[in-house]
Amino acid sequence: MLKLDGLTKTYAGQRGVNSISFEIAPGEVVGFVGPNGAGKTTTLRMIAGTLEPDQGTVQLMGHDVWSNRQTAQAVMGYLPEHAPLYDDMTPRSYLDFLLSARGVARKQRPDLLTQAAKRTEIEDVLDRRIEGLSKGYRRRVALAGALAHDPPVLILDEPSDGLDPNQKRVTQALIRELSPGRIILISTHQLDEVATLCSRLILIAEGQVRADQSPADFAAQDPEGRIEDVFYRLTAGPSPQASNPDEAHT
Amino acid sequence: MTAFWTGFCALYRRELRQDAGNPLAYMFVASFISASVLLAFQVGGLFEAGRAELVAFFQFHPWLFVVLMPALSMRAWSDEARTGTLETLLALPVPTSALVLAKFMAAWTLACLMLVLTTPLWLGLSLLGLVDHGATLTAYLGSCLLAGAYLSIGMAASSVSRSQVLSFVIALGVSFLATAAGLPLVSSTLAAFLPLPLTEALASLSMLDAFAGFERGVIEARGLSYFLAVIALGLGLTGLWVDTKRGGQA
Repeated sequence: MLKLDGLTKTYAGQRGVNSISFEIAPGEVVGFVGPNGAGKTTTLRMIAGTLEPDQGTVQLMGHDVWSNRQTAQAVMGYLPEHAPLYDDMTPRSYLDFLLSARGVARKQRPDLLTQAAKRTEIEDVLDRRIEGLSKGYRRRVALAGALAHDPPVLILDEPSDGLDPNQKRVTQALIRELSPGRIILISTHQLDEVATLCSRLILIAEGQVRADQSPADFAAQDPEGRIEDVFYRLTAGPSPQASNPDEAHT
Repeated sequence: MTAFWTGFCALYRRELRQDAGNPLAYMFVASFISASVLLAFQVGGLFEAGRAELVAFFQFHPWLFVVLMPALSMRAWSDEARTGTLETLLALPVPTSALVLAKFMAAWTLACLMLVLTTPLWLGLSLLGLVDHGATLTAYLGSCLLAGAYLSIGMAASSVSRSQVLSFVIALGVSFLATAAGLPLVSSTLAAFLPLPLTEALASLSMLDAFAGFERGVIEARGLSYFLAVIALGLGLTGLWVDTKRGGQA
């Protein structure tokens, strides 16, 4: 179980994240959506243990992320925003570095590495320098790094950003394959991805949770079932029709 | 192995491999060797002294290190912060102290290797006359500790800023002050403005003062404890500053 309770983070006097609370059970794939600057990445960083909350707690599989950080981080795979990588390494050496830093035994590492490379379809670039890889490959190498140690919890910040439609399909299939028994939290801007991939949607705006329901229930709030319109209404304005310039002038 | 050691070993190996594949590291080593030997012969008058000793060689080490060690350490943390890989490191189930120590030890290993590569000078001189090997070995030990002290200052400076240049300038400034404080010219100038006990105290905190005993071939407890204290202080500050990034301060 992943449990956030009253999570709050303030930047320069302004609340980036304001008392966010939710729970995610194993087997759930949750889409964490919201406009830019809503507090998605800040929340994910607090869950991952790389940013300390001002208030509130994060419990991961019974471990408090901040009082028992290393134990919590050991059961988590985290794909940070922009998928940062070491350009001087190859995907193989990068994955091996992450596995060894996580204390995975030398004998187990090749199998886990091969499995992660196969799952993310980076086998053909395993021995090329990361520096020369395309954006899509880089994103997949970073994703492989998050799941290489086969963690029960995956925190993914925009996993399909920069991927072409085919690569997105592969990534979505992979997340579906990984989902049974795992907690998966995905931050994304792609609402179609949430609709097809996630069992639950959490919408955040101005640092607060605005909606927490299934994508189908979320879309049902619009008469035509358009998820983008519900997103717009809850995050940007009173109603999409009223704020549509073309329609406003008619 | 504990999380500390697995994290330490993984990052230490990664850093060494990065240096091994980086042409700048070779240029750095070559610069030190050529500059130190050139200074020893041209300015220190190694041959003209007519004595088989390496004092003329070691006396320039503090000044060379003032420039070279900040250059060696400037990328350590600033690059991680700039490229975003710091987020990946902080998400590992590894104590911050292990990360700090690993980066420091990898840089120190390179600095010590650089010193080892100057030993042909020692061997060559011993063929020409009777060299006090014990004193020379002590001077090498002192030089290693001196390099470690400058590196720890560089590491702390690197953890403050995302800019390599700014990190270099901060480390250069602090290292220069910590060295020049022991010069008679600086002491006499300071004596004009400051009380004598304070001037003497500042001079006694100089790297030059702590290195003087080692240069003469004497391991002094004061010099030894001074270098270890500077290293501990530098690494402690680095750890603190890296941890403030978890607090969203920098």
